[in-house]
Amino acid sequence: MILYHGTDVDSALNILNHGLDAAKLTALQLDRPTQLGRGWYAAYEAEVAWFFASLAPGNVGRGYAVIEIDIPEDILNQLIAAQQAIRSAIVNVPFGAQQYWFDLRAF
Amino acid sequence: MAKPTYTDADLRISTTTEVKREGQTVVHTHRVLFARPLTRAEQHLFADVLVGFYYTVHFSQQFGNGLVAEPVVEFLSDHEARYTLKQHTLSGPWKDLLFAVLANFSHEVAPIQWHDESRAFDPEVGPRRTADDTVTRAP
Repeated sequence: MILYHGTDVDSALNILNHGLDAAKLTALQLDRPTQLGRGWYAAYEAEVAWFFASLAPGNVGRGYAVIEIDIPEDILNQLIAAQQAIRSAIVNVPFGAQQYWFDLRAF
Repeated sequence: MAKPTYTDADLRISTTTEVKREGQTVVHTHRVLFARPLTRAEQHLFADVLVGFYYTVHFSQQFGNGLVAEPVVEFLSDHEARYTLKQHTLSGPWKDLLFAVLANFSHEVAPIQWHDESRAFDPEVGPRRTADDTVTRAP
């Protein structure tokens, strides 16, 4: 299953080259409000991810991008069952726009 | 096989959003391209909707409250607008509210073909309308 993560360029390259880093994410989100709690977010549709990429916190001067994550569906379902991931619809929109939240324990 | 090191050249990078820092404030401007020309009334409504978004965020206290001023909305032509938000932080659940506001404007008033690099709001190419869209409605 392909999910999409929109973010600033430096964060995108960091994830691609070094993987997800719980410590860095924790530092980034410390004292900041988040949609579903502290964790990592991805969208089911690339076009939705491009919207959120344009609002990425680190997006000052360098631009933004969307990266793909290929996650086996059975693994994703295991994470959801273990409450280390949540599938959530963005509410009050006239179409199905799903986002996924991943707990730091899932990294 | 050694893992490749990715660089800017491997990414499709967008710089359509203008983002700059003014002291402790982040100022970001977004471009909205509509599928058809908007009437003056629709242009005013679009501006009102974004100003309403600002006050909803501010007074509800449910979406994070990093916004520091009413949005500035400008129409560059009758089918192209840009809006500027000023915030202390770009993190927070206000993004979902903004997404919903723009999505509903696009589907109910005038189709938004592009929001910066995104076509999420275009009824022709964005995410499909659900058979029963109440599944995504908040109770």
